[in-house]
Amino acid sequence: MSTEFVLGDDFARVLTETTQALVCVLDSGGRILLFNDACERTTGYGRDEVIGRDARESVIPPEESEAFGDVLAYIWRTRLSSPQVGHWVTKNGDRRLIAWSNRLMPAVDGEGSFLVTTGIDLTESAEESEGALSGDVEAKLAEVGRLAQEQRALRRVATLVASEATPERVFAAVSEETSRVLEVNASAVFRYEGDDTATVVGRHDREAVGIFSVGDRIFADDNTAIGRARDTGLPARIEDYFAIDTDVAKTMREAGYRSTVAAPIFVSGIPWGAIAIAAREALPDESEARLMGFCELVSLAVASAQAREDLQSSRARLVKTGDEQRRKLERNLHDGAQQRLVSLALTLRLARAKLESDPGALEPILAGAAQELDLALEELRELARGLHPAALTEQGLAPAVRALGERLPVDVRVDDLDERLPDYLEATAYYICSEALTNVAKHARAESARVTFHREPGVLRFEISDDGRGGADGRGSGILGLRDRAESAGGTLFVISPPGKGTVVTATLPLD
Amino acid sequence: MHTLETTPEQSDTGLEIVRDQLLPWLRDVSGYRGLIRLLDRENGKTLVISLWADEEALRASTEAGERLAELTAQTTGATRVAIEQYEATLFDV
Repeated sequence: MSTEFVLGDDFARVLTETTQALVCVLDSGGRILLFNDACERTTGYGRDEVIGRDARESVIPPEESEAFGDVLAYIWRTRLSSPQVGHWVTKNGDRRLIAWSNRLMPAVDGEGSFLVTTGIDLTESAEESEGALSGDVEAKLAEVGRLAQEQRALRRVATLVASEATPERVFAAVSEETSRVLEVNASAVFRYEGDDTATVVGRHDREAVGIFSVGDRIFADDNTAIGRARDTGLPARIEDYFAIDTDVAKTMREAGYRSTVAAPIFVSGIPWGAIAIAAREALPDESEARLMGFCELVSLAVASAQAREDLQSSRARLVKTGDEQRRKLERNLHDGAQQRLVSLALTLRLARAKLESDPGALEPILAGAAQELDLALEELRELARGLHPAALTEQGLAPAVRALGERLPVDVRVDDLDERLPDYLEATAYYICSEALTNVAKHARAESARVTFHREPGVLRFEISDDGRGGADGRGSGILGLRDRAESAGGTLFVISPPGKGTVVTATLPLD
Repeated sequence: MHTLETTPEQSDTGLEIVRDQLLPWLRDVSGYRGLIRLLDRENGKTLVISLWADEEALRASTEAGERLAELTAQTTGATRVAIEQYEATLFDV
């Protein structure tokens, strides 16, 4: 007869009591819920002294308590295990180096969860080895711990960037995280102002020295780390403010800082700003490299905020353009065709009055009425063509653009485009051609213009070129309007307009 | 301000034209602020005063106003005596 062995509660209890490994269970707030015999032996604390209390009040050393909180938050947020190496403090103040494994365990009632951690005390083995080697192992483990902390900080900032937080929040978070991760007193994010100054856009200092505030504009020449980072595009450092005699150096000295490291932030390929850290002592060699990771995140945050802003103003411009066009249309109708029809009504009334009294006068009156009516009709046709040319629907893009060109005071040649494209695409392309050609007629002083179409895989590319005076302002409202139209259809639009050499507008629109 | 010599009959026809044909169009002209038509029956005189936001609005409307006024006068048979422009220095309605 054999008895079945079950991995039940008893087994767990026996294992916990007999193992040489440290077993400790924590809740999300870091309170110790289970503290096994090995924990008692290693730390000298009795269970009654630690159970129910925050681990940071007993075994976690103060310098690691922040990292401990980060680890807990990370595990509860991601539900992932996170192996760690860290120190515990014994009751008599010794440090033990412990390698930890951990896993979240759901509570029996399904409400919340607990973190089960098991640890191996590495202190003895490290001490048994040769002194140099033990230092090496410990240094490596500390390095691993530090890297993990840096990765978490970068991830927190990246999360903030991804959530489209305002740049100001990202700058504040980056300042805080860099000063924490690099263990320096102060950190700030600067934006270059295009001259030899920079503005503080985010800052953090641990000791509330407060020499700079957000919004301050400071002088950034090549005696400053941020100035050098801007000029060289590379990280820069000021090793010793006591060796320099400038106002900034004096301010820094008076605040108790010895050295600064700054790393440049590039946005769209040009130095946008810098992250700088300052410390009372000389900063370690790797500070530059470690700042760069944060720089990339700031760059991303700034670039995506700019893209959002561009999109918003493009939308606003489209709406405004639409409003202006409706307003213009209403004016044209009112001052043109409507006015002609009002006077036509009066003329007909006059004709009726003359019918009996003076039939001889009818002829010129009616001729005038007919002419007025023709003019009104022509004006209405012109307006209707401006809304949506019938030629576009009936004959397609190239013939419609050609018809438009014939009404302009410039010689316009239009290439053929054999196939018909989706309605919206033809309309967008037509309006871009129409506005571009109108610009040619109005501003370019050109003799001739040419429109070419190229059907490429997945896209329609077309060019409107002229032989006019060039020098069109790429940021002027006319070209912005063209670009808005192209971009609203998912396409792109570029303008090349060297003075004296004509203008080429190239637009590309996706086919679906 | 347009001044016209009108018979009572001409004045009635003019009133009809101004009210039914000109006003609806006039109301949409930018800078238009109102129109007053005054009749002196005994002396056969009609005043048509149109009010404008500013000098520029008045200027912009002059050409069309002139054309329509001439047509109206022709249709009613009234005689146009004068066109004058004044600056309103007090307005209490």
